[in-house]
Amino acid sequence: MLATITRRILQGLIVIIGITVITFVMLRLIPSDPSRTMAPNATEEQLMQLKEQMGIGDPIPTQFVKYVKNLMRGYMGYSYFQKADVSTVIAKALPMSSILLLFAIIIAVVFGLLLGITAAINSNTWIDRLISGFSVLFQSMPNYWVGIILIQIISVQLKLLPSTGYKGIRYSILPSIVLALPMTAVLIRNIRASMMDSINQNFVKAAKARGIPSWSSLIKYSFRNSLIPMLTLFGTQLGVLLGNCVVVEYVFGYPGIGMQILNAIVRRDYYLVQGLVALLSSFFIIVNMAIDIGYIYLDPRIRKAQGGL
Amino acid sequence: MSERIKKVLSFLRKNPSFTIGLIIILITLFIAIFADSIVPFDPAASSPKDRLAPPFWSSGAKPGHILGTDYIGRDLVSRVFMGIRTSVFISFLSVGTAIIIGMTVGLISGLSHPGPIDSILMRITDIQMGFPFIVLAIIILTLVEPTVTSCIVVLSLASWPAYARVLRSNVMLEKEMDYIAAAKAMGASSTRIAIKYLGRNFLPSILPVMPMDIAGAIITESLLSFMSIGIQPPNISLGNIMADGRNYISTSWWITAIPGVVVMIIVLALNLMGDTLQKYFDPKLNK
Amino acid sequence: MKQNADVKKQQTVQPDVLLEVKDLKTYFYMPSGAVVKAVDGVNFTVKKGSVLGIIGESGSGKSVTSRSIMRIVDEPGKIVGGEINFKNRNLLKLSEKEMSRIRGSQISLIFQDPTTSFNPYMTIGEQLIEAYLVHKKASKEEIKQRCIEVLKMVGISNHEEIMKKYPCEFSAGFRQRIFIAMSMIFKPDLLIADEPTTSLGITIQAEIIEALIDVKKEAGNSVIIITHDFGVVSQFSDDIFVMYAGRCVESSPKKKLLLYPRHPYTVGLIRSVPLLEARKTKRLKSIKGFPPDMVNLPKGCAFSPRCEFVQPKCLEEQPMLREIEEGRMVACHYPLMDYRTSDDTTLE
Repeated sequence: MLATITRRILQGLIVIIGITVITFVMLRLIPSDPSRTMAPNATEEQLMQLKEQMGIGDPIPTQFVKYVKNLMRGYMGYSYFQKADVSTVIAKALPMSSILLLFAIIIAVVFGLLLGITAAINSNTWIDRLISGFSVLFQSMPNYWVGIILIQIISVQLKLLPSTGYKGIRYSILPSIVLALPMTAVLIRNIRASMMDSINQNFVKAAKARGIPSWSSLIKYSFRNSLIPMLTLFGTQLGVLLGNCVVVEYVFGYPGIGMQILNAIVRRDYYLVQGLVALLSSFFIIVNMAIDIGYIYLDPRIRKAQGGL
Repeated sequence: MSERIKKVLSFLRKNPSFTIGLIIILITLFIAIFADSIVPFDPAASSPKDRLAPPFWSSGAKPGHILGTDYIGRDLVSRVFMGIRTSVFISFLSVGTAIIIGMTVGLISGLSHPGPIDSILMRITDIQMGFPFIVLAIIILTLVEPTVTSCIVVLSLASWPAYARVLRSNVMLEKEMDYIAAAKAMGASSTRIAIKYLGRNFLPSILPVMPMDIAGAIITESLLSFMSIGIQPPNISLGNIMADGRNYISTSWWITAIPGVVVMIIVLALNLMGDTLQKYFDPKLNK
Repeated sequence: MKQNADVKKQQTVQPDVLLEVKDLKTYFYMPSGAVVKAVDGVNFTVKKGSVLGIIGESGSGKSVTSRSIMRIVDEPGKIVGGEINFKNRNLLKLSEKEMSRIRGSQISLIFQDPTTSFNPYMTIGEQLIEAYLVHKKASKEEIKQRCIEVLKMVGISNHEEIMKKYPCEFSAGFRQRIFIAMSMIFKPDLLIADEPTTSLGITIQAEIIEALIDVKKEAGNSVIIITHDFGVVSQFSDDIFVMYAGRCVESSPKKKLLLYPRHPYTVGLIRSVPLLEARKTKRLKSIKGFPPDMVNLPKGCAFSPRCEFVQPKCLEEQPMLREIEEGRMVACHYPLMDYRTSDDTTLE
């Protein structure tokens, strides 16, 4: 057991290192000079000096070694365009994206469960068809497009919520709804499917024979029973969610990690891109690792097979 | 042969959602292939006097421009048709590329399992899956010129790891099967075995995923073009049209809305097909 | 014997009848368009405090009958006709809400496979408590008391320990005992046991039957036991009801049926049981052929393709269930009037 976990962690580390190296190399290959962007009218000499300051003066391998050395000391580099340490920029942007993701996940889970269970209980009635139909529809809409349309309808026409930028928590509502939509759709479909699976399980029938009404046994039995497939789903959906987060932040001009990453790439803010990419991928990999370990705790049968843990 | 046609027809009859999806996709393909012959106007020809004309159902619609015009008076139907062509071309080819890359990697990996080559290839697959795709796509498209070819390659990066994994596990399972040993005993080379036997079993496992991947590619392509790092004007993409319309959305919402609806319909059709195929090929449901 | 048939007892509703199933029909509408008549016009009664054994091969409709009584028939099955009168109330006329109040409190169903009939993610205690709380608000102490009682009924004494554990930590036989205990938590008037021993080993089978007998003795309720095994019903039933292809082929008090089976199918079933005290001399034989294809039943008697006494009429005309002796019904054109399973007359 412990060996499995160790191997997982090692594999995860390899992946994070690989992503860091690839990002580093790709960024340096982009044919453009960030020092020139910083100081368009500077002389060659001034540029050399600036490059030195920005940490991009040395040959690429040297730069990489320095970067890794800094990382070892816990220093992620300096963003010249933001005039701040990468860690400071991240510390400022991370809560913004976290709120967005958190809201989106809450919305998706609440509505996914609610509608998924409703559809399953009323399977093959018009309610089920309506919910399932809408979920296929929302799954098929391009997320960024939904964002644009909703800004237009809800912010511009109806003036219910602010549209872009960030001046308070109200600015997080619409982007999180947009972010939540495709995930909700996926959850509805999956929860419905796994509930339908559970309905046919013997113990759910046995519960019904004990007078436990079908909706109650469905929620209690099937929900607990479908937690594991849901967890798997969450692992695979997380990548989609993070990607959509970048896009939604772009559409809404929302100053989170995604917006920072896009700006950093455009400006060739190397160390900032580097830090943000590492952050996103580590998050993704760690969550997926945690999910693998979570299985063991969720299923008493696996727990028993593992001898307690 | 007629037996086979009968089987297909009964499958279509039993799965109306698949049939609807298929019909939409066939129409889409028809538009994509014959786009330049069926467009009512030159998609690039601007006509300032007709600019920002609304679609046919609103007052002030200009005759001929069924779905209205954009900010310099280009016909929206014509532009959407050309956009469909670009989207379909790029998404189909990118998934095709992904399958080829995935099959190659999966085959090598599975045949060399267990071993260092397999481990390395699998870690590369992990890295690909762990890299936030949209970020990778943006970095690559700033690194290289955003052309149709580079878009195809970038989009194929999104889905090849899944194919590689499926083929690898198939190969690993099939390697142990008796008929492979029998074929080997009869003197077939391992490459031939791989292609003949493994390829055949690969199809059922990738067929249900393919429509969804194509759908994903269509969405991502339109997104990249919308962010103006994908297909560049004067080439027309559905994403380009939406980006053009965004500045005029308050007054001329249709320029942005219509290409989005088109993307949605195509993606919906592909999802419907994928759903049915998934159920059809699910061994659990096929008792 | 003919005389006995003349002195008919009244067949109308008697005060001591607990359950009366009248012309029950449960059909399955398959997606392919075929209709499977899993239960096709079944009649029987269960008296208060008595045990009815329903016997038949798999696919004969006996399990569907039990699920119809509970109204938990799986899709695409539908109860399309008949009456199920329980304590003079037609269960088929009740709303789903009223029905669920009866399930588990007045009628309980024991399932075939105890390894799948528990929720694997809830402890035994949680499931017992849940079973109690569905029907009655009660204090923790009260519930605990009742749990101890029912667990004792099935011979389980270390309740503290058991209630904290998950179902997967017990053997199948033990789980079935717990399930029986859980079914008895409200002292139901009717306990239906649907093949309660089929998935268990031989030695455990006896243990479970004993537990059922003990529980019945203590609670005095009525029981329907559904099985394909004459060994089970011969130990534990007052009347026997033989089903074939969704219909009743023979019903009779236990002893008479075991000694003088009248339907060729019953004869075949009894012959295939190894451990029956009533017949020691005959060779062990199984019925030839396979259970019928429920989609395409033969035109005449459903059993005709497998019957060793088949006559031309059997292939043409479906035999109706008729009374041939007092309390004995048979659906056969040519019942075996002279057959007996044992020459030992003392058994009568």
